[in-house]
Amino acid sequence: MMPLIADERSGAAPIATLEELARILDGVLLPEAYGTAMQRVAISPAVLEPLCLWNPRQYSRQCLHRTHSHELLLICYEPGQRTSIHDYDSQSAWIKPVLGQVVEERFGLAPDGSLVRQGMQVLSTGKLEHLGGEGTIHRHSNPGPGRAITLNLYARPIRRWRVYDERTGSSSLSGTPDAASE
Amino acid sequence: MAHGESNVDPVQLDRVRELLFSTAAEGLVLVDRTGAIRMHNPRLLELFGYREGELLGRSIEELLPHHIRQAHAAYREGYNAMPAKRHMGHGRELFGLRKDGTVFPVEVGLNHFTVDHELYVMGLVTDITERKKAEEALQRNNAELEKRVEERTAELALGAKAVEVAFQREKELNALKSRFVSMASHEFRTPLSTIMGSADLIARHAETGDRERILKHVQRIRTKVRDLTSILNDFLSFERISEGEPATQAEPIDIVHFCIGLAEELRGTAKPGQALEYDHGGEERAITVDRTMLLNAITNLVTNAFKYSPEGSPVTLHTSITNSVLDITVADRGMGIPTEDQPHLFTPFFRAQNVLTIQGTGLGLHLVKRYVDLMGGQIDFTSMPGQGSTFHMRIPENSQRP
Repeated sequence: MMPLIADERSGAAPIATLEELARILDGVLLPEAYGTAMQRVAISPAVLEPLCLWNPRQYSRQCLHRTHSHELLLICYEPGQRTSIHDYDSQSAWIKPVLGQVVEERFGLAPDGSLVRQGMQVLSTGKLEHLGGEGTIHRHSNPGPGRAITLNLYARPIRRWRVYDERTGSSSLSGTPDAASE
Repeated sequence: MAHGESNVDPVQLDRVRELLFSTAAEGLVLVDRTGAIRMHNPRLLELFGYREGELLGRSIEELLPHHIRQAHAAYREGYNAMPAKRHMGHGRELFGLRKDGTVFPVEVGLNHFTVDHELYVMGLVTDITERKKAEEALQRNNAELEKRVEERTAELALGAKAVEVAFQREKELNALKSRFVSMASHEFRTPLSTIMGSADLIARHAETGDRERILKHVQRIRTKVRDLTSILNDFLSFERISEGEPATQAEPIDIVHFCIGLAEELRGTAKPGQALEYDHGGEERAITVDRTMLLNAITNLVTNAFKYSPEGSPVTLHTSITNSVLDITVADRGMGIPTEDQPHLFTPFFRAQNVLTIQGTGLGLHLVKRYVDLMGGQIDFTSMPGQGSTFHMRIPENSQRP
């Protein structure tokens, strides 16, 4: 597997280990710095693969590092696996494929509450995507043919998880009741 | 001529009498009315450890242990008043006191005669130490034997009880399995005929290339296969749990991601418009529990909530961790449980009256209760017919860290 190359625009040395990434994330003061840190991530898939859990029924999610202000997840997709259509409410998130690619679909809500697909893009290996604020309803899927791994950083840790019914647009919500006020 | 003496020469007869007296295996003692020893044979000295001449003239009570001497003197007075040939101390154990102070068990036969109006009492003393030892050994053996018989009887009784319990359990299991076979044959028929119908329609639509209808029937087949799998999983879990106490396998989990993963997995079981609204209260989100049992318990409650609620009706899942206890609440706004059925809800194969037309095994809630029990937790519920049900589980952290 090819090691990832950090985004050169960050102008800083690539981050090659999870320990280093965790140390840098723990030192972040301004939220924008999370994006900068994630741009510098160049962790080899070979480092992450031993930590991966592959579930033939559904994509898997594991927490690699968490503090009260952020949490880093490792998401593993077998070919064809996908998330629900969901959003994080007011959470900010950075998604970075480190193996394979994932397709991101974005949705909006029509006045009658039904879902309307607004766009689609391919997140290839090493590309950093930011999701934040209201209205970032989306779904990630692995189009295959190989496996896909993404590193997802959430600031703050996931407190709300809203799942939309693709057939009707109705949503379900995950998270703490007080999270909306934060 | 005395009884038992034939025409023997008187001189020889005296000699024989002397020999009978001096060589007797029992001690012979002759006392007068006052209890003074007037004559004894050598064996008596031997039994009591005295030397020749030491006993003559001394009280017979000196040959008895101290604590019975006073009583013996009274018995002796009574005997003097009504002398008779008999065994001494009928029904009581008798003991002699040796010169060295040791005590030994004896048996004493009494007889009497009168010479010149003077009453003499003769005692025949037998040392029964060896016989007593043999009796005691026999008693010990008997007691040991009785004890072993009692123990063995108890073991057999226990074994018989265990066999009876196992037999009863086997009977119950067989009855439950029979109920399952009856239920399964009924519950399998509907989805199987749906699958067959959809397969026929897919074949027909394939000829016209109607992709949309084909996909609809593929989805219908998937749903029915999932229903059948669920029935089989319920039964397999029921059988596994009924045939033994599966050990819990504790591991630390992050309850928020655990529930998000569960919500993602269960999204396909919801009816159109049904939302699963999950929230976690509090900052603490790590707990050590049996992941599989917890997964099965929550999955069962959430899928039940979807199943017994109408389209578009939300289901809520709430978790919190307080003082190492995980609280889980699953609530729906569905059909609820009839009040008269509520006491039987966790009984295997029980189905409430208002869901008899909806597919189900009647095992789900029984399994949930068993999982919660195995995790050392508690489950309760409230329900209003027509308004919905709320199930609440409390599961303590498993102290056996992996």
